[in-house]
Amino acid sequence: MSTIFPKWFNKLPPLILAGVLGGGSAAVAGVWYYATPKFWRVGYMPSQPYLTPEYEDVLLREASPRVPGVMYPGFSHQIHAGKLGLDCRYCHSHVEESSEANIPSVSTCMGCHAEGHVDEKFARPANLRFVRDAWARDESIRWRRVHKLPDYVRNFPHNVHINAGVSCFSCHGNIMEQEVVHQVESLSMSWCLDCHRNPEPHLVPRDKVTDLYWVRNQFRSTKFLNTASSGLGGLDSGTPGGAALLSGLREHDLHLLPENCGACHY
Amino acid sequence: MSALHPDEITAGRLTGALVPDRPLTMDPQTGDGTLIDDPSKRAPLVLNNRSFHDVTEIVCGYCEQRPGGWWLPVFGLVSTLAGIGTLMILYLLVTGVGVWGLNNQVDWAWDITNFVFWIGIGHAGTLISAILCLLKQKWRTSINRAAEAMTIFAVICAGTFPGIHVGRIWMIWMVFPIPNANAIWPNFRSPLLWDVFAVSTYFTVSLLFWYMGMIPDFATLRDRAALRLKRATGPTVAPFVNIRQDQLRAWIYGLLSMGWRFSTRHWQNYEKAYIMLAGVSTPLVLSVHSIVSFDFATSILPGWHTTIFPPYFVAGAIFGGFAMVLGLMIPARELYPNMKELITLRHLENMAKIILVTGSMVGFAYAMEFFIAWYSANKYEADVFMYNRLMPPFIADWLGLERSAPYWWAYWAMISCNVLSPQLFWVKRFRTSPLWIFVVSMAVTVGMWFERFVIIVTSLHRAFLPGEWGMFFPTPVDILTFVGTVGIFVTLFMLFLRFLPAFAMSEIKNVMPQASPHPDHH
Amino acid sequence: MSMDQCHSTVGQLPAAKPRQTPHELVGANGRAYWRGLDDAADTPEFRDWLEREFPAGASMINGETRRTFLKLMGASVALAGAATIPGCRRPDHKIMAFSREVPEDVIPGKPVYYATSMPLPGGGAEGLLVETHEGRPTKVEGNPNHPINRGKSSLWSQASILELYDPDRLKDPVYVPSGADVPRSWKDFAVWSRQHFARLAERRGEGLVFIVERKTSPALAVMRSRVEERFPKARWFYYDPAGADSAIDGSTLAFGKPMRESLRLENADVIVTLDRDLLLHDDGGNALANARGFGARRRVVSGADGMNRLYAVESAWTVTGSKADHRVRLAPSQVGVFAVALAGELVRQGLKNAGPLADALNRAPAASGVDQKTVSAIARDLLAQRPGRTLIAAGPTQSAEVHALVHALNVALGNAGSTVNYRPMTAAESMTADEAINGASSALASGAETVVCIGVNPVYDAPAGARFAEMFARAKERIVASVGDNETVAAATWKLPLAHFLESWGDTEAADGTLAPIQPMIAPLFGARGELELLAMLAGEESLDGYEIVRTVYRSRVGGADAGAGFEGWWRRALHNGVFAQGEAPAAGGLAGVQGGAASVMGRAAAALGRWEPPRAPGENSLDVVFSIGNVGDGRFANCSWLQELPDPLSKIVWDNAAMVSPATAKRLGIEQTDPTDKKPKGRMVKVTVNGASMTIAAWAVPGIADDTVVLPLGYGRTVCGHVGTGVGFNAYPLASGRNRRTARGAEVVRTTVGSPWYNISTTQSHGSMEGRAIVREADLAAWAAYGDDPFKGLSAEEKKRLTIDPYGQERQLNFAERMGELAHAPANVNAYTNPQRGLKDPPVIGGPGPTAAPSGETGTPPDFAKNPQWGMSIDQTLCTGCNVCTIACQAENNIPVVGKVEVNKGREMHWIRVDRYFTGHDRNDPNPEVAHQPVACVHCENAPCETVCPVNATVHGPEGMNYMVYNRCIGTRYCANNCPYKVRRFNFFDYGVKKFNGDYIGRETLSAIKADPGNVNLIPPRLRQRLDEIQKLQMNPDVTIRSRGVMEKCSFCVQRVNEARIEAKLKGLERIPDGMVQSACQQACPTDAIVFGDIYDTGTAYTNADGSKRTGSRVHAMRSSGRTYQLLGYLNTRPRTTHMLAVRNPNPELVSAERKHLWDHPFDHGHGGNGKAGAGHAHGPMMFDTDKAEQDAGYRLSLSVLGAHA
Repeated sequence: MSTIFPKWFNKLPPLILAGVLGGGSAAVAGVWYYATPKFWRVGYMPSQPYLTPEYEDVLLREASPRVPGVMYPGFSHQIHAGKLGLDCRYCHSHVEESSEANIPSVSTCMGCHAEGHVDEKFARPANLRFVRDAWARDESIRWRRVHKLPDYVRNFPHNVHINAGVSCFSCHGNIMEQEVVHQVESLSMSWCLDCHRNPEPHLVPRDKVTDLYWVRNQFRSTKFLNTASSGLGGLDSGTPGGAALLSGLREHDLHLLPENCGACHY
Repeated sequence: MSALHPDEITAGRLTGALVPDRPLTMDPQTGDGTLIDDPSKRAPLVLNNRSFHDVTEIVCGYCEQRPGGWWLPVFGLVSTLAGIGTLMILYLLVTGVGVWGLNNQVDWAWDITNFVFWIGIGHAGTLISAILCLLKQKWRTSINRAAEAMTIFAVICAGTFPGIHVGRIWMIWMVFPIPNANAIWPNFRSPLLWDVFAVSTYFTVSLLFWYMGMIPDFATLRDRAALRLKRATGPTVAPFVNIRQDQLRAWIYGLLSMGWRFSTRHWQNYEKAYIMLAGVSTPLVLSVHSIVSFDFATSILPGWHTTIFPPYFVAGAIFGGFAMVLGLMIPARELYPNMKELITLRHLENMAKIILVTGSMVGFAYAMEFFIAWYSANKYEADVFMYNRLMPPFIADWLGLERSAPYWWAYWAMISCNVLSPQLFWVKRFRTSPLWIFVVSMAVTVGMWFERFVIIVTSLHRAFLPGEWGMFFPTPVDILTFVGTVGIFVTLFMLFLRFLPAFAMSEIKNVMPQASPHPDHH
Repeated sequence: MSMDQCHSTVGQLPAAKPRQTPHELVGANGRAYWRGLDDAADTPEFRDWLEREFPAGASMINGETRRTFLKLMGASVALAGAATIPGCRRPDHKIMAFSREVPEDVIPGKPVYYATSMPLPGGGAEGLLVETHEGRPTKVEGNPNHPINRGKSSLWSQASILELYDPDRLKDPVYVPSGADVPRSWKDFAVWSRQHFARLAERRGEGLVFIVERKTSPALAVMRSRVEERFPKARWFYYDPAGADSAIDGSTLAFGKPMRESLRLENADVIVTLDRDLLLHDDGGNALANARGFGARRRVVSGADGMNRLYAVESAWTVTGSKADHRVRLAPSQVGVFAVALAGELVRQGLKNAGPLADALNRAPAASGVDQKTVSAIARDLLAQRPGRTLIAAGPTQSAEVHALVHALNVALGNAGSTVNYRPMTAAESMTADEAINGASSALASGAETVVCIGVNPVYDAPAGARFAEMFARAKERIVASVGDNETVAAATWKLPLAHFLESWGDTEAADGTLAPIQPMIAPLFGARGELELLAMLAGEESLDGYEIVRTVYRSRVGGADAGAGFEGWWRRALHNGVFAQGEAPAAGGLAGVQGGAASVMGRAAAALGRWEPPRAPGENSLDVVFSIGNVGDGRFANCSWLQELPDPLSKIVWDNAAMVSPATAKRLGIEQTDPTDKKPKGRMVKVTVNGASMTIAAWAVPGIADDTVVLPLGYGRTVCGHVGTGVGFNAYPLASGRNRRTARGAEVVRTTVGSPWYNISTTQSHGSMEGRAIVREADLAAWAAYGDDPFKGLSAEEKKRLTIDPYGQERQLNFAERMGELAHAPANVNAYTNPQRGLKDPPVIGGPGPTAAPSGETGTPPDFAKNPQWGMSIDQTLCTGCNVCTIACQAENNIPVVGKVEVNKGREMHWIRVDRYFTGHDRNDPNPEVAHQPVACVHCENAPCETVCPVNATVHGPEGMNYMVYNRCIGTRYCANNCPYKVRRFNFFDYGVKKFNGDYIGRETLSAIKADPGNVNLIPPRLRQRLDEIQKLQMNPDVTIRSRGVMEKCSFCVQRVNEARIEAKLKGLERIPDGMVQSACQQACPTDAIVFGDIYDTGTAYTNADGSKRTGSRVHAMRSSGRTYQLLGYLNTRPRTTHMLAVRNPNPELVSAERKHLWDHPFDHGHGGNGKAGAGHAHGPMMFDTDKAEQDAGYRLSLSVLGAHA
């Protein structure tokens, strides 16, 4: 057969076989790893808010060197929630009563940032110009959406989670230290289910839900492993919430931690 | 020896320039001589006392020579149909399943009818290859290759329909058990999922079986091309292109034959693999259509919810599959020279007998459905058989019944094609006449399509609540899609006849008298 | 749910504030859409946003008020492709919060409910509660505080939300000085009209004609009087094209002045209707209250409960007739004869207080063609009741004399003040359509120069004889204000967009006199203005603000302490409650306002009767005509696709009207349709000639219509309407004329000779017989009373054992309704497998409905279904009138698309809840069948056949017993739909959800088809349609996914509402969701409360009913415990969570056939045809077609004997 094929052709079948097997495995592994919300979504960090270039330039100039690239923190959670220690609910005021964690209105910003309310030395008026201009024009500011569930998730109630003792920290991460907000968790369906199937490690007392530093320290100390005991809820028995709340509600007949499709999709 | 090269002799014979050295003698009693009923005499499986070399020449000739003048027009026609079918499928994908005539009462109609029809067609191949092989039926050797090819092509046509009938084809991956971030598996309780596994397994095994069987024949074709290359004869691929056809043949058949060298070790491995694949395929013949029948049998719909479906479907599939083999091979036998020497009347008669048996099984199943409908005393079940299928309006009028079956014609088309027409084969004259066999096998093919239509549409269109009854009317897209798959099927089959070894040369040679060291002792 | 004052009322003028040009603060701008076409949003990002399903961020709005929701659309702008760096990873979604003025009561993500009311055509109103999501109204509910609605709602109020967002509405004023449209603004009109009307005012309104809608609204009346003051010589016409003129005339005859009646059906034990649809269409404003009152007297739960009795004498089918215990089929002219015969019989049988009427009746000509036996039985029944417990009601087809007679009979029977109240009509209300249209026509003919039409469409609906269009064109200035486009607008010189009631201020007066505010839910779209504001402009008022106008009216009406400083509080309470508590109190009914009292009524009625001549019976070439009202009302709702696609309750025709006749008449005239059961439905085109006018229309035979009568539904055949309504059906108005314009005599119906002889008709139901299947089970009250509580009463122990022990030796507990079905003669299901949902084997006994009790240690795990809540629904077929409002409410709540005539023709309608209609009778050709209505939606089987077959787990079961449909998981194999025995699953064959019905794309072929036959306008296949208009998307419920092509959908038990309630209950720390906290959309709308939804496992909680009485357990549990409850197709062991309740009728023993009476004592037998077999029973209704049962029973006995069981 040497007249038709060179000798190395004898190796072709095993080579093809190996290629198919290897390539197939690589493809599967690739899809498995890359085609996930964990890969695509986590770390999404857009500049905030969405502005015209004149405002953008100012912010970029003022941007902290810690923020890589061309990101600008129009609003820094690190300053507001971290340094200043504002409670999450100061701005996200309806989070306990509505499924939406609302974005504050311009008037909320102006509560502090109206001319003269805050020492201009700290507030850096150039950075604030977009807020004050929006206020003057009665327009809203366009924030870029970071955490977004797919459209077919019809039911994600913030209020229920907050009231059940799920801290903001559990889904949004150490948001009090983020100069530019980014997505920390994958927010994929399996991620949701993980928590719904074993919620205790993620539950904190009701009054600590927005106390993010406290929560972080607790999570660090328990390493998320505090499942055998009554969970974090046991730490503060005086306040309903957390695992105590959970076990109390479990006595009731309401289906508490839905894992069924119809809880979110309809 | 003639001064002509053997290829040229074959070529001459094929084109009719040379008269066959031994013309076929047809006896009025025994046809081509293979129909002797005397059990002490074994009828020849290859006529005209052909030598091994002759068989090689004949079979390889189909691939190496230009076919007759009929080929191109016929191929043009069927490939056009295939193109139309493909366009219809594209139109469907772009626009939505609504281009078919389906509705909220009849959610499956031609799509699943065609699926089950084609899957059924695909049964004969593996049956002939595997079960008849295990049963040592020597007559299978001259039809098994074509039947296997037909299986592959039919399963391709069949597999199209479940794929395109879903509303969101771009999400079809969700039927496969792939790990995903949603933490959801497919529903392993669903017969549709079993279909996915059953059909893909069947296709894979059939393809392996078919391909493996062809390896020695590919090697023969490769070697012949290589020899001719050495002699520097033969045409080029196209005018002014300095590539010889045989060069391509040597390469392609060479690749396909995977280095087959006709060594004893090769043959030994080959035989082992063949018998193993036959063993693996045998349960598949039974399982695939059983599983397809579960699509219906596991539902609760009267007319579908029937425990006899698995055997009934398997029998029906073999029935329809053999009819299709005959429907393809009888014309081929007429159109290709010397094919009658390989596919004798005995072959045809054997297949006709199988059609008679399986047709009667199917008829029995039809009768049992009626018996059970009555015996179960279930009004809904009885109504489906009586008033969705059986009762023609004119008879209903005559009997004074208040209802009749709008699809009675489909039911009666099925009965006459599937149950009545094979009964002709009780008569020897009909089952040994290629023309009659062809007519009946075509009728059976049509009837088997109607069987699926009857099961699917007539059960659905008038189910439990009369308030939600509705008719199904096919659209042109429905019809052209089906016609298109017929085109795809025949196109592929013609390409197969043209370029691949249509007969298992090595196996035919095995059953020739010359292969036996003691030809007189059986 | 909060009902509060609309904060838009707080000191802001609705449309007066000029819009600021948005500053380009940011790169992309979401622009205002609704303030005018000039700035219609056309930016790609806007489109992008809209084309996606509603993003959650849309719930943040930044506007000043919810009405100014222009910025909502910018709320979350998806900018595909990114000008910015982070966009390269995914599309940039913007969230826009409020800016400066934050409305206090709007919490993003939570709907807010506001009370308002809807004026009904012809007078009357409904009180509504409107759900708004961040400023856009999405769903209309009935206001629980409003006495007409009591939380319920009608077809038209449900559909009004779609009318609001109709993209075909008029947009901004248009002036047509010389044939061509010139776009103008309201400012231009103000300038023009100031001059023009000042000139007219100088002439005191000479040559000025007003044609205005006849509706009841005090504020409107005040504004109209202001205009009249300015133009005293102007002519005013109050016009209701489909009104019952003869009822106005009849009340004038009887009482000396026009009186409006309002009925109290809850007080009536026996009701006789004379061609009147009390329950749906012919009692305009009061139909909801009527249905509620009627239903209240039919709520039969135990065997001891009684019910009222309804006799319907009618010509066309109405839902009232379909619910009647006895329906007498008579041509409209003969219904009057029947009325006189009944009156005579009443007098003969001793009716007191008839006075002179008795003499007149004795003198009246003897009735012919009326079944005397029926008449005397009805009369006896009426007289057997206590005074004031009966009701006779005449309908619009009846002459004034008959109406007068009926009024007199009601008075004589003591019903005035009890079952019927009278209230004087205002001058506006009492103007008949005939007076209005002929008056207007002649005023125009005599040279009126300016005509103002507000909310009317006389060019379309005037009778041919009035030649209105011609006269209209003669006027120099034709000012037409209308919400939607119409024929009159097309002929106008000034086209003014009128504000929809959901976007304007006003008030309404309901049929019973209740006053209610109309408050806007949204700033006027398309630059429209309210009617009050327009009239104020014409009256030359200073303030053009509807809000101020209404407040001023009520400030002057409110007396006492509330008038001054207290007014604000009063006003806020009124807006909150949706009812003006101290408006004019409803008249106390009775004959308080009638001069001379009862005696004078008798005298007047006697006089009227003296003038009455019995009409001859209709004949072959002289048919009677009924002009009926259907789903699109008098034509004003023709552009509402929901109503067009809603099937007619009896004929089930959609997207068309047809000349309906009885099968016998159709056969005689040779105009039968194709049999829709097995062919594409086509009607014969016929030419109907009457009153000197003629029309061509498709004919359609419906069993149960009076012979020699043709029914022509009004409101179709609009030629200028919009994308939806134009060219749908045939216009019958030109034929309707005269003083009694809802009927006509002497019609000729012949096949057409020109054009295509056949016409495609689309119906949602092709087969009307139950085929002997126990689907709708029915029984008469006598049988129910005897056996309802114990279906085995009176049987020997041996017999009872035979019936309660199944062939496997298991005992079963069959209730009354179940003994009528398949379960009574089928072996029980025996399941070898453990049910994963309940963790136990299905019990061999198919017992009563509801979850099974915990297993007795059979398996380790407790059954999931024994945990509250377990959702279920009960549908009472006694109460279901077939009005279809559940279908519309469901459509509005669940974003269900409209598919169009052609798709319905293919059997692809999308309604999640349908009302199946079955005819039952002695045989298939019974000319006078009874009708059974059966609402069917997904029944949420506990053993759901759909779930096992889905290959991708797209339909699964929840722990609360709901069958979920996960759209995103669905790939569309449709296997679930095939395996659903109830056929309730609906497939999106095309992109119905996101494509606009009837797009602008019209191919050549379609165009020629439309030319050939305007009825074919809906031929445009959905795949060629345009994407949904942006504005239509605002109606969508943000809590429900909009389904794409290729996805299956079905009733979800309103899971979004359930989840909302569960969240509420959790947050409130409630132990369980209390009964009534979740109402499904269909239940909420159902006027008779036939649908009850709730926790079927809530058996022990104590509740207080609305009337103060106590009950234990949920309502749905109580319904399911009734002996009337059965599982539809329960023998399949699907264990549906929606159960149906057997329909009970209450026929008069005197009028019942012997074989039917036999069923009273033997309700489980076969009654007809003698083929009954012991123990194998069906209800009397469905079994009437049961001819092949005997053979099957033989098979059954054989199978039992093989099993070795006793048969």
